[in-house]
Amino acid sequence: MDSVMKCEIVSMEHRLFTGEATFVSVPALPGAMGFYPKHSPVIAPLGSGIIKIVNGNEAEPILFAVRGGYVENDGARVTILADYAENMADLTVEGLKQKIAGIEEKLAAINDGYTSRIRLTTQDLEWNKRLLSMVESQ
Amino acid sequence: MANLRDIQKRINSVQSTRQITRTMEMVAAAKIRKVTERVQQITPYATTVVESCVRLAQEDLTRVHPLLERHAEEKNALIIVVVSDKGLAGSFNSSVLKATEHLAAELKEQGISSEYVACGKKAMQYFKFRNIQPVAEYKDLSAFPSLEQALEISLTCYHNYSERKLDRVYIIYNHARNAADQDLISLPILPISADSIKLKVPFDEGIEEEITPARSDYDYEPDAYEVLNTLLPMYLRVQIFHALVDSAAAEQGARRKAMKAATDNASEMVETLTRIFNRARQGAITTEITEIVGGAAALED
Repeated sequence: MDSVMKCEIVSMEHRLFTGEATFVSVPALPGAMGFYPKHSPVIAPLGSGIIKIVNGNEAEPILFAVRGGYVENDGARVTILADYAENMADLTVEGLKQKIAGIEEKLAAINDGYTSRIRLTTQDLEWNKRLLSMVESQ
Repeated sequence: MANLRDIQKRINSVQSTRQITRTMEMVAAAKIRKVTERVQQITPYATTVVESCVRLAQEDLTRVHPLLERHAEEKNALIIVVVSDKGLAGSFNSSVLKATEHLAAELKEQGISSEYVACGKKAMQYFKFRNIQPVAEYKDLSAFPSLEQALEISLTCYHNYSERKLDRVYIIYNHARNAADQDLISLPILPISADSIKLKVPFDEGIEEEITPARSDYDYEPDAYEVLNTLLPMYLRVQIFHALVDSAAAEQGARRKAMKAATDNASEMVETLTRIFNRARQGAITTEITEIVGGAAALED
Protein backbone atom coordinates (compact mmCIF):
# COMPACT_ATOMS: atom_id res chain seq x y z
CA MET A 1 0.00 0.00 0.00
CA ASP A 2 1.36 3.36 -1.01
CA SER A 3 1.48 5.98 1.66
CA VAL A 4 -0.52 9.06 0.81
CA MET A 5 -0.39 12.72 1.65
CA LYS A 6 -2.99 15.44 1.66
CA CYS A 7 -2.96 17.94 -1.15
CA GLU A 8 -4.69 21.28 -1.31
CA ILE A 9 -4.81 23.97 -3.98
CA VAL A 10 -6.18 27.31 -2.86
CA SER A 11 -6.51 30.53 -4.79
CA MET A 12 -7.57 33.84 -3.31
CA GLU A 13 -11.24 33.26 -4.06
CA HIS A 14 -11.70 29.52 -4.24
CA ARG A 15 -10.46 26.27 -2.90
CA LEU A 16 -9.76 24.41 -6.13
CA PHE A 17 -8.74 21.05 -4.89
CA THR A 18 -8.53 19.06 -1.69
CA GLY A 19 -7.77 15.40 -1.68
CA GLU A 20 -5.18 12.74 -1.31
CA ALA A 21 -2.20 12.16 -3.51
CA THR A 22 0.69 9.78 -3.81
CA PHE A 23 2.73 12.14 -5.93
CA VAL A 24 2.53 15.85 -6.73
CA SER A 25 4.71 17.79 -9.12
CA VAL A 26 4.74 21.59 -9.25
CA PRO A 27 6.41 24.19 -11.47
CA ALA A 28 8.52 25.85 -8.78
CA LEU A 29 10.50 28.94 -9.66
CA PRO A 30 13.94 27.28 -9.42
CA GLY A 31 12.68 24.34 -11.52
CA ALA A 32 10.06 21.60 -11.41
CA MET A 33 9.72 19.91 -8.04
CA GLY A 34 8.12 16.59 -7.21
CA PHE A 35 6.86 15.50 -3.84
CA TYR A 36 6.27 12.04 -2.52
CA PRO A 37 4.87 11.59 0.98
CA LYS A 38 7.34 12.25 3.81
CA HIS A 39 9.29 14.74 1.77
CA SER A 40 11.36 17.04 3.97
CA PRO A 41 9.50 20.29 4.75
CA VAL A 42 10.01 22.88 2.05
CA ILE A 43 8.58 26.18 0.84
CA ALA A 44 9.15 27.37 -2.71
CA PRO A 45 7.70 30.08 -4.91
CA LEU A 46 5.90 28.97 -8.07
CA GLY A 47 6.45 30.02 -11.64
CA SER A 48 3.83 29.19 -14.21
CA GLY A 49 3.06 25.79 -15.59
CA ILE A 50 1.26 22.58 -14.74
CA ILE A 51 0.62 20.98 -11.38
CA LYS A 52 0.24 17.23 -11.60
CA ILE A 53 -1.53 15.34 -8.86
CA VAL A 54 -1.29 11.57 -8.95
CA ASN A 55 -3.34 9.41 -6.70
CA GLY A 56 -2.26 5.77 -6.83
CA ASN A 57 -5.79 4.46 -7.13
CA GLU A 58 -6.78 6.62 -10.05
CA ALA A 59 -5.15 6.02 -13.40
CA GLU A 60 -5.44 9.56 -14.73
CA PRO A 61 -3.46 12.27 -12.97
CA ILE A 62 -5.31 15.53 -12.26
CA LEU A 63 -3.77 18.55 -13.95
CA PHE A 64 -3.97 22.17 -12.93
CA ALA A 65 -2.54 25.14 -14.76
CA VAL A 66 -1.00 27.56 -12.31
CA ARG A 67 0.63 30.96 -12.41
CA GLY A 68 2.41 32.47 -9.43
CA GLY A 69 2.06 31.73 -5.75
CA TYR A 70 3.97 29.29 -3.63
CA VAL A 71 3.98 25.73 -2.45
CA GLU A 72 4.38 24.61 1.12
CA ASN A 73 5.07 21.00 1.91
CA ASP A 74 5.43 19.68 5.43
CA GLY A 75 5.74 16.01 4.57
CA ALA A 76 2.13 15.07 5.25
CA ARG A 77 0.44 17.85 3.33
CA VAL A 78 1.18 19.79 0.18
CA THR A 79 -0.46 23.21 0.19
CA ILE A 80 -0.38 25.22 -3.00
CA LEU A 81 -1.37 28.84 -2.77
CA ALA A 82 -1.82 29.98 -6.31
CA ASP A 83 -2.24 33.46 -7.70
CA TYR A 84 -4.14 31.98 -10.60
CA ALA A 85 -5.05 28.36 -11.05
CA GLU A 86 -7.35 26.44 -13.29
CA ASN A 87 -8.32 22.81 -13.61
CA MET A 88 -7.13 21.71 -17.05
CA ALA A 89 -10.23 19.56 -17.42
CA ASP A 90 -12.39 22.70 -17.27
CA LEU A 91 -10.57 24.46 -20.08
CA THR A 92 -11.84 24.31 -23.64
CA VAL A 93 -10.54 25.94 -26.81
CA GLU A 94 -13.88 27.67 -27.30
CA GLY A 95 -14.04 29.04 -23.76
CA LEU A 96 -10.47 30.30 -23.84
CA LYS A 97 -10.90 32.02 -27.20
CA GLN A 98 -13.93 33.81 -25.83
CA LYS A 99 -12.03 34.79 -22.71
CA ILE A 100 -9.10 36.11 -24.75
CA ALA A 101 -11.43 38.22 -26.88
CA GLY A 102 -13.00 39.59 -23.70
CA ILE A 103 -9.62 40.50 -22.21
CA GLU A 104 -8.47 42.16 -25.43
CA GLU A 105 -11.60 44.28 -25.39
CA LYS A 106 -11.00 45.19 -21.76
CA LEU A 107 -7.39 46.09 -22.49
CA ALA A 108 -8.44 48.44 -25.28
CA ALA A 109 -10.91 50.19 -23.00
CA ILE A 110 -8.44 51.09 -20.24
CA ASN A 111 -7.54 54.74 -20.19
CA ASP A 112 -4.05 55.94 -19.36
CA GLY A 113 -2.95 56.43 -15.82
CA TYR A 114 -3.93 52.97 -14.73
CA THR A 115 -0.54 51.38 -15.37
CA SER A 116 -1.16 48.60 -12.90
CA ARG A 117 -4.41 47.69 -14.60
CA ILE A 118 -2.73 47.61 -18.00
CA ARG A 119 0.09 45.48 -16.64
CA LEU A 120 -2.29 43.03 -14.98
CA THR A 121 -4.55 42.74 -17.99
CA THR A 122 -1.61 42.19 -20.32
CA GLN A 123 -0.30 39.44 -18.09
CA ASP A 124 -3.75 37.92 -18.00
CA LEU A 125 -3.92 38.00 -21.79
CA GLU A 126 -0.54 36.34 -22.26
CA TRP A 127 -1.40 33.69 -19.73
CA ASN A 128 -4.69 32.83 -21.39
CA LYS A 129 -2.97 32.64 -24.77
CA ARG A 130 -0.48 30.22 -23.28
CA LEU A 131 -3.30 28.16 -21.82
CA LEU A 132 -4.94 28.08 -25.22
CA SER A 133 -1.82 26.74 -26.91
CA MET A 134 -1.47 24.15 -24.16
CA VAL A 135 -5.06 23.01 -24.56
CA GLU A 136 -4.79 22.96 -28.34
CA SER A 137 -1.66 20.83 -28.29
CA GLN A 138 -3.32 18.22 -26.10
CA MET B 1 -54.14 73.04 16.57
CA ALA B 2 -53.36 71.23 13.31
CA ASN B 3 -56.44 69.98 11.60
CA LEU B 4 -57.32 66.33 11.42
CA ARG B 5 -56.56 65.83 7.77
CA ASP B 6 -53.01 67.25 8.12
CA ILE B 7 -52.23 64.90 10.99
CA GLN B 8 -53.61 61.92 9.06
CA LYS B 9 -51.40 62.85 6.12
CA ARG B 10 -48.30 62.91 8.28
CA ILE B 11 -49.15 59.58 9.85
CA ASN B 12 -49.47 58.03 6.42
CA SER B 13 -46.21 59.49 5.23
CA VAL B 14 -44.27 58.32 8.29
CA GLN B 15 -45.83 54.89 7.91
CA SER B 16 -44.67 54.54 4.33
CA THR B 17 -41.18 55.71 5.30
CA ARG B 18 -41.18 53.06 7.98
CA GLN B 19 -42.12 50.48 5.39
CA ILE B 20 -39.09 51.46 3.31
CA THR B 21 -36.62 51.49 6.16
CA ARG B 22 -37.90 48.15 7.39
CA THR B 23 -37.41 46.64 3.94
CA MET B 24 -33.90 48.05 3.69
CA GLU B 25 -33.11 46.60 7.08
CA MET B 26 -34.21 43.16 5.94
CA VAL B 27 -32.31 43.43 2.65
CA ALA B 28 -29.13 44.36 4.50
CA ALA B 29 -29.63 41.47 6.92
CA ALA B 30 -29.92 39.06 4.00
CA LYS B 31 -26.80 40.48 2.38
CA ILE B 32 -24.78 40.04 5.55
CA ARG B 33 -25.10 36.30 5.14
CA LYS B 34 -23.81 36.46 1.58
CA VAL B 35 -20.82 38.59 2.52
CA THR B 36 -19.99 36.31 5.42
CA GLU B 37 -19.72 33.40 3.01
CA ARG B 38 -17.29 35.42 0.92
CA VAL B 39 -15.17 36.17 3.95
CA GLN B 40 -15.08 32.48 4.78
CA GLN B 41 -13.97 31.66 1.24
CA ILE B 42 -10.84 33.76 1.39
CA THR B 43 -9.95 33.02 4.99
CA PRO B 44 -8.04 29.74 4.39
CA TYR B 45 -5.82 31.41 1.81
CA ALA B 46 -5.28 34.45 3.98
CA THR B 47 -4.39 32.54 7.12
CA THR B 48 -1.94 30.29 5.28
CA VAL B 49 -0.15 33.26 3.75
CA VAL B 50 0.04 35.01 7.10
CA GLU B 51 1.25 31.83 8.80
CA SER B 52 4.07 31.44 6.31
CA CYS B 53 4.99 35.10 6.60
CA VAL B 54 5.21 34.88 10.36
CA ARG B 55 7.38 31.79 10.05
CA LEU B 56 9.63 33.50 7.54
CA ALA B 57 9.94 36.57 9.70
CA GLN B 58 11.77 34.45 12.25
CA GLU B 59 14.45 33.50 9.74
CA ASP B 60 17.67 35.43 9.49
CA LEU B 61 17.80 37.14 6.18
CA THR B 62 20.91 38.32 4.45
CA ARG B 63 19.17 41.18 2.68
CA VAL B 64 16.32 43.43 3.68
CA HIS B 65 13.36 43.13 1.37
CA PRO B 66 12.26 46.46 -0.18
CA LEU B 67 8.77 46.10 1.29
CA LEU B 68 10.18 45.68 4.78
CA GLU B 69 12.55 48.59 4.51
CA ARG B 70 11.66 51.85 6.13
CA HIS B 71 12.77 54.71 3.91
CA ALA B 72 15.21 57.11 5.51
CA GLU B 73 13.53 60.13 4.01
CA GLU B 74 9.74 60.00 4.08
CA LYS B 75 7.89 62.40 1.84
CA ASN B 76 4.96 60.71 0.14
CA ALA B 77 2.18 58.66 1.61
CA LEU B 78 -0.67 56.85 -0.04
CA ILE B 79 -3.94 56.47 1.82
CA ILE B 80 -6.37 53.83 0.60
CA VAL B 81 -9.82 54.99 1.62
CA VAL B 82 -12.42 52.24 1.67
CA VAL B 83 -16.03 53.37 1.97
CA SER B 84 -19.39 52.56 0.42
CA ASP B 85 -21.09 53.49 -2.84
CA LYS B 86 -24.28 54.30 -0.99
CA GLY B 87 -25.25 56.25 2.06
CA LEU B 88 -27.98 55.37 4.55
CA ALA B 89 -25.57 53.45 6.70
CA GLY B 90 -25.18 55.67 9.72
CA SER B 91 -21.70 57.00 10.28
CA PHE B 92 -20.13 54.27 8.13
CA ASN B 93 -18.76 56.60 5.47
CA SER B 94 -18.27 59.77 7.45
CA SER B 95 -16.16 58.11 10.14
CA VAL B 96 -13.70 56.80 7.53
CA LEU B 97 -13.52 60.13 5.73
CA LYS B 98 -13.02 61.98 8.98
CA ALA B 99 -10.20 59.62 9.93
CA THR B 100 -8.65 60.17 6.51
CA GLU B 101 -8.64 63.90 6.99
CA HIS B 102 -7.14 63.45 10.42
CA LEU B 103 -4.40 61.16 9.18
CA ALA B 104 -3.53 63.44 6.26
CA ALA B 105 -3.22 66.39 8.64
CA GLU B 106 -1.03 64.38 10.97
CA LEU B 107 1.24 63.33 8.11
CA LYS B 108 1.44 66.88 6.88
CA GLU B 109 2.82 67.93 10.24
CA GLN B 110 5.60 65.43 9.71
CA GLY B 111 6.23 66.91 6.28
CA ILE B 112 4.64 64.03 4.38
CA SER B 113 2.20 64.77 1.58
CA SER B 114 -0.64 62.36 0.91
CA GLU B 115 -2.20 60.84 -2.16
CA TYR B 116 -5.38 58.83 -2.15
CA VAL B 117 -6.99 55.76 -3.61
CA ALA B 118 -10.75 56.18 -3.43
CA CYS B 119 -12.79 52.99 -3.13
CA GLY B 120 -16.50 53.74 -3.22
CA LYS B 121 -18.54 56.58 -4.69
CA LYS B 122 -18.81 58.36 -1.36
CA ALA B 123 -15.04 58.77 -1.25
CA MET B 124 -14.98 59.98 -4.87
CA GLN B 125 -17.59 62.62 -4.09
CA TYR B 126 -15.68 63.65 -1.00
CA PHE B 127 -12.44 64.21 -2.91
CA LYS B 128 -14.16 65.87 -5.85
CA PHE B 129 -15.76 68.38 -3.52
CA ARG B 130 -12.32 69.21 -2.13
CA ASN B 131 -10.70 69.39 -5.56
CA ILE B 132 -8.41 66.47 -4.88
CA GLN B 133 -7.72 64.04 -7.70
CA PRO B 134 -7.24 60.54 -6.29
CA VAL B 135 -4.62 58.39 -8.05
CA ALA B 136 -7.22 55.70 -8.60
CA GLU B 137 -10.98 55.47 -8.18
CA TYR B 138 -13.22 52.45 -7.85
CA LYS B 139 -16.98 52.56 -7.91
CA ASP B 140 -19.90 50.12 -7.95
CA LEU B 141 -17.73 47.61 -6.17
CA SER B 142 -18.23 48.32 -2.50
CA ALA B 143 -20.91 45.67 -2.04
CA PHE B 144 -18.94 43.02 -3.89
CA PRO B 145 -15.24 43.97 -4.15
CA SER B 146 -13.47 42.26 -7.03
CA LEU B 147 -10.16 40.52 -6.79
CA GLU B 148 -8.86 42.58 -9.71
CA GLN B 149 -9.40 45.74 -7.71
CA ALA B 150 -7.27 44.42 -4.86
CA LEU B 151 -4.59 43.19 -7.26
CA GLU B 152 -4.43 46.55 -8.98
CA ILE B 153 -4.13 48.54 -5.79
CA SER B 154 -1.50 46.24 -4.34
CA LEU B 155 0.53 46.24 -7.56
CA THR B 156 0.51 50.05 -7.61
CA CYS B 157 1.63 50.13 -3.99
CA TYR B 158 4.29 47.51 -4.58
CA HIS B 159 5.90 49.22 -7.54
CA ASN B 160 5.74 52.73 -6.24
CA TYR B 161 7.07 51.66 -2.89
CA SER B 162 9.95 49.67 -4.36
CA GLU B 163 10.81 52.60 -6.61
CA ARG B 164 10.68 54.92 -3.63
CA LYS B 165 7.90 57.04 -5.07
CA LEU B 166 5.95 56.15 -1.96
CA ASP B 167 7.29 56.02 1.55
CA ARG B 168 4.22 54.95 3.47
CA VAL B 169 0.92 53.31 2.66
CA TYR B 170 -2.13 53.32 4.88
CA ILE B 171 -5.52 51.75 4.53
CA ILE B 172 -8.58 53.09 6.30
CA TYR B 173 -11.74 51.02 6.46
CA ASN B 174 -14.47 49.66 8.70
CA HIS B 175 -13.86 46.30 10.25
CA ALA B 176 -16.89 44.10 10.88
CA ARG B 177 -16.45 43.10 14.50
CA ASN B 178 -19.74 41.25 14.37
CA ALA B 179 -23.00 41.54 12.45
CA ALA B 180 -23.96 44.73 14.27
CA ASP B 181 -20.78 46.54 15.29
CA GLN B 182 -18.02 48.07 13.22
CA ASP B 183 -14.59 49.24 14.24
CA LEU B 184 -12.76 51.92 12.35
CA ILE B 185 -9.35 50.65 11.32
CA SER B 186 -6.52 52.87 10.21
CA LEU B 187 -3.68 50.56 9.36
CA PRO B 188 -0.19 51.23 8.05
CA ILE B 189 0.38 48.47 5.48
CA LEU B 190 3.72 49.57 4.03
CA PRO B 191 6.45 49.27 5.07
CA ILE B 192 5.51 45.88 6.46
CA SER B 193 6.99 45.53 9.90
CA ALA B 194 7.94 41.98 10.65
CA ASP B 195 6.31 41.87 14.06
CA SER B 196 2.98 43.30 12.95
CA ILE B 197 2.09 40.60 10.47
CA LYS B 198 -1.35 39.47 11.44
CA LEU B 199 -4.86 39.37 10.22
CA LYS B 200 -8.08 40.86 11.42
CA VAL B 201 -10.79 38.31 10.92
CA PRO B 202 -14.28 39.77 10.38
CA PHE B 203 -17.05 38.48 12.63
CA ASP B 204 -14.51 37.41 15.17
CA GLU B 205 -14.88 39.01 18.56
CA GLY B 206 -11.28 38.30 19.48
CA ILE B 207 -10.30 40.69 16.66
CA GLU B 208 -6.78 39.45 16.08
CA GLU B 209 -6.22 35.84 15.44
CA GLU B 210 -2.99 34.82 17.05
CA ILE B 211 -1.21 32.83 14.44
CA THR B 212 1.55 30.68 15.78
CA PRO B 213 3.37 28.57 13.26
CA ALA B 214 3.75 24.97 14.32
CA ARG B 215 7.28 24.40 13.12
CA SER B 216 10.03 26.32 11.47
CA ASP B 217 12.36 23.64 10.17
CA TYR B 218 11.40 24.33 6.58
CA ASP B 219 13.83 24.43 3.71
CA TYR B 220 13.47 27.38 1.42
CA GLU B 221 13.99 26.90 -2.29
CA PRO B 222 16.03 28.58 -3.74
CA ASP B 223 16.53 30.62 -0.55
CA ALA B 224 14.55 32.42 2.12
CA TYR B 225 14.88 35.78 0.40
CA GLU B 226 13.32 34.55 -2.84
CA VAL B 227 10.44 32.99 -0.94
CA LEU B 228 9.93 36.22 0.94
CA ASN B 229 9.97 38.02 -2.37
CA THR B 230 6.95 35.96 -3.43
CA LEU B 231 5.22 35.99 -0.08
CA LEU B 232 5.30 39.66 0.80
CA PRO B 233 3.42 40.84 -2.30
CA MET B 234 0.92 38.06 -1.63
CA TYR B 235 0.59 39.26 1.93
CA LEU B 236 0.01 42.79 0.68
CA ARG B 237 -2.67 41.58 -1.72
CA VAL B 238 -4.35 39.51 0.97
CA GLN B 239 -4.25 42.45 3.34
CA ILE B 240 -5.94 44.76 0.83
CA PHE B 241 -8.47 42.25 -0.47
CA HIS B 242 -9.33 41.28 3.06
CA ALA B 243 -9.90 44.92 3.98
CA LEU B 244 -12.21 45.41 0.98
CA VAL B 245 -14.29 42.35 1.81
CA ASP B 246 -14.27 43.21 5.49
CA SER B 247 -15.54 46.69 4.66
CA ALA B 248 -18.31 45.24 2.47
CA ALA B 249 -19.42 43.10 5.40
CA ALA B 250 -19.26 46.04 7.77
CA GLU B 251 -21.29 48.16 5.36
CA GLN B 252 -24.24 45.78 5.43
CA GLY B 253 -24.02 45.58 9.20
CA ALA B 254 -23.94 49.34 9.54
CA ARG B 255 -26.85 49.76 7.15
CA ARG B 256 -28.95 47.22 8.98
CA LYS B 257 -28.29 48.94 12.27
CA ALA B 258 -29.03 52.39 10.87
CA MET B 259 -32.24 51.21 9.23
CA LYS B 260 -33.35 49.45 12.38
CA ALA B 261 -32.92 52.70 14.29
CA ALA B 262 -34.86 54.57 11.59
CA THR B 263 -37.68 52.02 11.73
CA ASP B 264 -37.86 52.28 15.51
CA ASN B 265 -37.95 56.07 15.33
CA ALA B 266 -40.71 55.96 12.74
CA SER B 267 -42.77 53.62 14.92
CA GLU B 268 -42.38 55.96 17.85
CA MET B 269 -43.41 58.90 15.72
CA VAL B 270 -46.51 57.11 14.40
CA GLU B 271 -47.51 56.38 17.96
CA THR B 272 -47.13 60.03 19.05
CA LEU B 273 -48.95 61.29 15.96
CA THR B 274 -51.81 58.85 16.46
CA ARG B 275 -52.20 60.09 20.00
CA ILE B 276 -52.31 63.71 18.80
CA PHE B 277 -54.76 62.71 16.09
CA ASN B 278 -57.11 61.04 18.57
CA ARG B 279 -56.95 63.96 20.94
CA ALA B 280 -57.73 66.38 18.11
CA ARG B 281 -60.65 64.23 16.95
CA GLN B 282 -61.99 63.96 20.50
CA GLY B 283 -61.64 67.71 20.82
CA ALA B 284 -63.56 68.28 17.61
CA ILE B 285 -66.39 66.00 18.73
CA THR B 286 -66.58 67.66 22.13
CA THR B 287 -66.74 71.09 20.51
CA GLU B 288 -69.51 69.89 18.21
CA ILE B 289 -71.60 68.46 21.07
CA THR B 290 -71.13 71.62 23.09
CA GLU B 291 -72.32 73.63 20.13
CA ILE B 292 -75.42 71.47 19.60
CA VAL B 293 -76.26 71.47 23.30
CA GLY B 294 -75.66 75.20 23.43
CA GLY B 295 -77.85 75.71 20.37
CA ALA B 296 -80.69 73.57 21.83
CA ALA B 297 -80.51 75.43 25.14
CA ALA B 298 -80.69 78.73 23.29
CA LEU B 299 -83.83 77.56 21.45
CA GLU B 300 -85.56 76.45 24.71
CA ASP B 301 -85.16 79.86 26.24
